[in-house]
Amino acid sequence: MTLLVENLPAFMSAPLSLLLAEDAPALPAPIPQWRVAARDGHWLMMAQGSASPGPALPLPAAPGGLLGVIAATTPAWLTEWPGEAPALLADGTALAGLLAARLLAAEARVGDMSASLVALRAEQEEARVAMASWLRSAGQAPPQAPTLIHADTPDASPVLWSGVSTWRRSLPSEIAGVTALAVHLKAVAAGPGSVLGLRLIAEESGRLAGAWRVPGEALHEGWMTLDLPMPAPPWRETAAVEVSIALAPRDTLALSVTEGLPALQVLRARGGARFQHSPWWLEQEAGRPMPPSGVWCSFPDDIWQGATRTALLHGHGETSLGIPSLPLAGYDLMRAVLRVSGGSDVQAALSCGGRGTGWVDAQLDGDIALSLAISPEAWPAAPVRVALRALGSGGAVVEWREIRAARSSSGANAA
Amino acid sequence: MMNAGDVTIACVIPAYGQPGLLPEAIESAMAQSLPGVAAVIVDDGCPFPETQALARAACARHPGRVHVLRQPNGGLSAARNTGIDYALAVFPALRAAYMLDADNRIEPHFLRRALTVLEEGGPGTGWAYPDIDSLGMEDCSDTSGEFSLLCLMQDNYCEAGSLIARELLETGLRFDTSLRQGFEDAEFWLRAARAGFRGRYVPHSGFRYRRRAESMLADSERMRPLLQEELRRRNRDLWNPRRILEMEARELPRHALLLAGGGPVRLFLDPAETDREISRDAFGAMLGRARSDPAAHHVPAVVAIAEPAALEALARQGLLHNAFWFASVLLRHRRVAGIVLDEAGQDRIVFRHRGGSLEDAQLIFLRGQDMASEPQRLLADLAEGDTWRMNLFMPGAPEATGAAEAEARAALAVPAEAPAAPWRRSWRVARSTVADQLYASVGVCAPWPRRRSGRDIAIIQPLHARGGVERVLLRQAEVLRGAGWTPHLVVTERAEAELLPGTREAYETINFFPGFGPEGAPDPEREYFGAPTAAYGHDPNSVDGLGLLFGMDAALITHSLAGHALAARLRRFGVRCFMGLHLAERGAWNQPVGQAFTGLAYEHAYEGALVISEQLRRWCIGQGWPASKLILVPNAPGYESQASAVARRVAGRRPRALFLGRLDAQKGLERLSQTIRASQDFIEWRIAGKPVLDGAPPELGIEIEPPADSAGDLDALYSWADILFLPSHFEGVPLTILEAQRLGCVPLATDVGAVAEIVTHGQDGWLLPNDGTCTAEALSALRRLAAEPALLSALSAAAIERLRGRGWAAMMRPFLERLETP
Repeated sequence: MTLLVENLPAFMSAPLSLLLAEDAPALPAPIPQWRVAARDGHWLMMAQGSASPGPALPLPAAPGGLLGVIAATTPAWLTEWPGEAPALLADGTALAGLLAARLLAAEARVGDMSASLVALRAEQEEARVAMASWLRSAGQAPPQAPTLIHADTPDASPVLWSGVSTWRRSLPSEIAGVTALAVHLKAVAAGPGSVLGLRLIAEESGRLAGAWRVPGEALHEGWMTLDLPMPAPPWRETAAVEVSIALAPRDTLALSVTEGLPALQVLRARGGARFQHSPWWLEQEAGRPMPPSGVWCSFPDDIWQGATRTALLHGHGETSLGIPSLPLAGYDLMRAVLRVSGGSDVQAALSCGGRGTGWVDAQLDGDIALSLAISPEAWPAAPVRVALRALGSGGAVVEWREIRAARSSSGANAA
Repeated sequence: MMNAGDVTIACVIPAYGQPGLLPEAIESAMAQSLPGVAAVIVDDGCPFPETQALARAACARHPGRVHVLRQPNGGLSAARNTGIDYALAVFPALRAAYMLDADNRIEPHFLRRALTVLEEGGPGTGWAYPDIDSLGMEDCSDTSGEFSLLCLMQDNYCEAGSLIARELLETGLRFDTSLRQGFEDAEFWLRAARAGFRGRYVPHSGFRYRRRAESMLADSERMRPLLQEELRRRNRDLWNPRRILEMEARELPRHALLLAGGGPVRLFLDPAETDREISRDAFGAMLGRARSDPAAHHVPAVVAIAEPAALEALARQGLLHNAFWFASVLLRHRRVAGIVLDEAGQDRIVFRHRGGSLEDAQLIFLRGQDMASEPQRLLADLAEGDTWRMNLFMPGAPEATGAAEAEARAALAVPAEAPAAPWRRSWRVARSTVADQLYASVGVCAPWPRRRSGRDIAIIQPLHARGGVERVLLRQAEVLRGAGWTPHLVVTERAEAELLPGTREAYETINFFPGFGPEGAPDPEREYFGAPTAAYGHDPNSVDGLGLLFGMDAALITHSLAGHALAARLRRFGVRCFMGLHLAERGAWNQPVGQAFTGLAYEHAYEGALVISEQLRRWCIGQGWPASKLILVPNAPGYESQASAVARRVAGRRPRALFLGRLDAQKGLERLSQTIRASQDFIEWRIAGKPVLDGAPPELGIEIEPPADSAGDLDALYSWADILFLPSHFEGVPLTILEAQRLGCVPLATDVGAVAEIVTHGQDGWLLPNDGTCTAEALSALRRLAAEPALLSALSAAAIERLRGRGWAAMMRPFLERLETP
């Protein structure tokens, strides 16, 4: 006689179940119970209390959740049982004993799991500390120049867009280490009501590695580069880019395309080797802070538009260097390095957002290093000025060598 | 709570010894963005109770979505099979089952993407396979590209973690439970492919394979050679080179042909067919893809650039397949090879090959993958003459124009634009080499590029001149052709052939062995009772010979040492091999020599042997050939006569005697010379023939006429002559005797070989002793025949009668019957 089960899927997916021999009483316990009885030349297993049998299937293997069989004597159908026979339980008392043993074992497992979790959390906390420390120290080094790893050649004819559009494309590049994306704009006539959005996505898992939202007035023709604050995590997945455009009614944008999709460039840097201020970074959406705290970040090249990058200083004269608008949102420390050539006794004073360093002398190597705590008044952007003066009769040429900013992890800015 | 009726995908998770990792697998299945996903955990008798506890916990956490089965340990395959059977039984809406190992994971969109790929593949799409991204020991392996069974045979790139269509599972196909050491997935896919299903690649799937220093995979890798051999053993029909050839034609065509002067590019295996035609631009894109990712994208291994007239000329001479076969062989020696066709008159084919310039080549062959990857290097090879050049002298060769070389340069001058290569690691071999690697794995190289007809028979000879054996084989080929077989001439030991009238019509193709190995050389270290055996059998180049012949259905190998050397291997590939035996010869010391003795060394390799005489049949039995392997195919006249047979009446004139044949020592030239000189006053003589083996023609005292080949010339000679004189030292069953008898020309021949089987002394011819009295006896016989015209006339009439009805179709019947018997 074959052992058939009515509603086999329910039997096999029950976390707990109990079998009842034909003459065994049902137990008043919140455990699904199945009674086995002879019917039409088969052994039929039905849920206790089931009104009429539905379609039944042979039992292919023992179910995972079975506690045992309530039976006074070994039922004949147990010979049909696939694999090791379940435990025989004489009555509810025997079941209680079994459940108690299970409970004790489960509690022991919970204890084990708790102890394991504690150890794992401690290990993870140490890893977090180590990672943060490494990030800060990595951020001290000059940024690594990025490498172009993917570059489309824009088609001759751009596509003129209006309204709202979205594209998504997978790139033949790994997402790990991606440090910047560039999209090519052929013509721009857009104001504050329009927005270009970009998202960098790990294609396989769907995880987001970057998100930017560029207002219409910041869009410019040519390759528009959007940096990640730091290179994308070492995810071994395909880089996918989503480009969305939402244009105000009379705005237009001509996006360069290749084979019908937005033309893109992808740049990569070594993990932890390039920290970059990214003005249009959507920190909340991307799920990663911008900028990473305690790390010196560079600024995109477009800060130099309209800036005075080099100054000629005459003997006993004064002049200045300046950046018209530096995006400083979130930063509370600024560091500038100037290079002085052809002269001596040059002093410099950095000022921004109502704060200043006072006069600082050149170092022995000729550079002048200036550090300034940034006032929140300088957020989101403020002009930066460096006053220069020559104390001696010799003149000098002074130029920017570096300007970087950091978010203090210790809240030093408050002082 | 999910109902069983809502389940569309079952993730079958065998669980054994991985309780700590099992929840990751379960949760990754439960987190799929595709609705209707259930997990079927098959506890394969895991000794750790945690496995059951964790599985139960998953049941509680995902009501109705996690099903747990426990069975005695049966191994990974058995557990998967249990899960598959269960899913098919209880989920009526099941569309596919996914094999998820307990220590692996899938990303949330995996099953949605895989199901889309599976179902968009159409009927016959059996499974959808991912890239393999390892966890732990990080590595990302690319498996992209069109599915190819050949590539799968070369190396398994379809992970067990593939989504399998219900349609496939319902055929009853399951994982082999006896393969417990690994490779059970490869074996499963191979059987699925044999059942007519194919896989399909899922891009960006998100399959995470846990790779550890020690694992089942690491164990399998250590046993890789053994397991691969096991795969081959279980799928012997797939690893048959004939099957590989069929798949190559379908999946990875060997050749691309660019015609000088432009036009589309033909892709094919068989140069007489076109499997696919694509534009030049599409071919450029094909090269570009192969340049960027050779493992995922095919480019034909051989790119041919040819002048149309050259292809036509080769096809007319039946040399097209051999030329393309040579391309594969020659391209092993250089990146660029070519064939220069030269005129050789109506009846000769000769080839020579060596390094040299291809300026005047009408066919140029390039390695396809090199054309994709480094065209500049091929261009430099062409410019510097660093190429392999074959000169093929043949009838009807077109003039050289230089157009092929110009076309080749133009094709190479513009490198293909390559799309970006995949970022994942490419670990598979280039597709253009896959078929060759598979052939090599079964001991074959350079497959002859012709699709099988099912009735192809190779007629294999060491050389092809105008001898009797060539005529016999030609007539046999004609009969085979008439019976629905397709004969192919294969010359193994000479780089030339002299064509007989009818050769082009009887043989579908003409083929030569390549001339890189010792095709005709004996191996002095391995004589069989003093008879030579083939050095070619141990030579690495013999795999080329196998490549040329394995696609045949049968082979008749006559006197070819190289052919004998290949027979046993050919039989393993299903080629039915028969040996052609014509005579047991005698050497200079009257010692037994010749092909029949060499044949004894190879008897075991053959299904049977064709013997031309009863005498030779008995000789073979005496030498140990099983009688039932011997097929008596007596000779018949070597050509179709147009003349009428007339019994001779010589009253009133001198009788006319004719010697016809090779002017070699075997034919008893000293006897011929003495007999002519002593009988010229009462016999009118003609000699037609030339030396084949022994150099300059002998001095016979009369003018020697050129050999006769055409039926008309032969008819004229036999009709002119009253007597055919054949004083040979040894013979088999000479065709000249049969041809002469047919037209009433009386044979006067030495009693050698099986001559007595076709001449009855004094009734339909005259037999001479094969000893020092031969010349005297010959002169005596000639005098008597000259003196007794009535005797000559009676012998002539009897000869005509003897040959009446003796044709090749009748003689070949026993062999045809044998061929038709499987």
